[in-house]
Amino acid sequence: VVSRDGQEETSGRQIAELLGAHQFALVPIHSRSGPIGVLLADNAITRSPIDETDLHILRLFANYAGTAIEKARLYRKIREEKDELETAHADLRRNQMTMLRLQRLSDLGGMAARVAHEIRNPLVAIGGFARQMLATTDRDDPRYKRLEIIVSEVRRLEVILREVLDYGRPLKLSAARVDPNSILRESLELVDSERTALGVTLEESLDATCGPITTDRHLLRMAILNILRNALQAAAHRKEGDGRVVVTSHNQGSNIQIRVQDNGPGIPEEDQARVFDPYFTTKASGSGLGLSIVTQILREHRGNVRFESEPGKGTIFYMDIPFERGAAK
Amino acid sequence: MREPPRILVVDDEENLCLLYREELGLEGYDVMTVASPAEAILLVEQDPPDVVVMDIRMPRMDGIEVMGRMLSQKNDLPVILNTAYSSYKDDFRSWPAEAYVIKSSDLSELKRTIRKVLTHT
Repeated sequence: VVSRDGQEETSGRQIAELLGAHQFALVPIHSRSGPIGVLLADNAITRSPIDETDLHILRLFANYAGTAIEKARLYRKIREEKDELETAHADLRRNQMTMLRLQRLSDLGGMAARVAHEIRNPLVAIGGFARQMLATTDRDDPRYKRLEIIVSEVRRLEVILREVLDYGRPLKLSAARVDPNSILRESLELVDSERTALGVTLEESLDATCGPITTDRHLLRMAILNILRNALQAAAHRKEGDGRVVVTSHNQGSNIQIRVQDNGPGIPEEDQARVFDPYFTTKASGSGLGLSIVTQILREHRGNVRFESEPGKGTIFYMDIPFERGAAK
Repeated sequence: MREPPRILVVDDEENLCLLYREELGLEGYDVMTVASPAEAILLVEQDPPDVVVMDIRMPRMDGIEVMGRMLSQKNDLPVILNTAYSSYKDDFRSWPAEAYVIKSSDLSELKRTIRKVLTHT
């Protein structure tokens, strides 16, 4: 008997001693692809001699065992391949669903742009003439207030239209080294009158080691403003009237993180998967593009945006922006 | 330059033409409006205005093309593109324009731009 590495020889007698048996038999187990094992039988218990009949039975048994083991292995292989196929199939289905969804969104975007375009000119006429009449109407005239309403509603519609029409076209990043905290402070200042009107308190805690980062000041401010406005509006929904938004910045080594936390009603679970989808909105007035624009801007910065929301407790948005923007696409 | 300066507005929407005629007229300009691109090109050829305000999206011929035809007649003609899309700024064919204005019911930007263009020429 030769060991596997072929170096150490073991005699039959030594094996018999090892087994504590007088006699033993070795029968190879074969599969169609080659030997797969050895069947060893001894008489340590029975002490009766191993004869031709026993060997015959052993050979038969080894044959069956070989076939059975081969089948079991084949079965396992098939099952593994089936699992792999199922995973691949599921991935494919998921990708297909994503493609369909993107396709639908892009169709929707195209349609929205066309509709927006058709609405634009009539709006210019409505708003333009309303402004003209407003300019020639006396402030005490009861029509003055109504004309003002027309003008301001048209302005609101025009802002939405501009967002829809500008959405989706490639953003041109003009990168500069900018202190993110200064953009944050700027944004906080810009929303201050809205914040006061909504009766929400605002706290800030900015990490002075954040920055400078390579960014487009204008675009990043737009992203921050969109999130900030959402947070303020959410916080204003507090029944207790103690709406609060906390804005913080953090240096996380390779990136900075801006967190905007509100104590509003939170995002309903069924809406959470869709908040970044273009044209998705729960507000009575809005293009539904705000967060989608944020995603686009953060993507341009090689960063990302995500949120955690607990219904009834509030929402935290996280914006991660790398210090360096990395290689261009 | 004429006194008062003449402004040619090219827009296929009649209601907007009326608005521009009235509003720019109030600013003291001599305003002509045409809805047809072909007519606008002919007008420039015969008696060029001091400034052109051009809508970009019109049926038959887009405003950028109309501008190209006009500039080939008179290459120092100031054209202001009045458009719904801010993305037209990215279209190199629109570069010869003197200025772009995003179409809005608030005409103050357009008025400001016309004033600026006229003082430059």
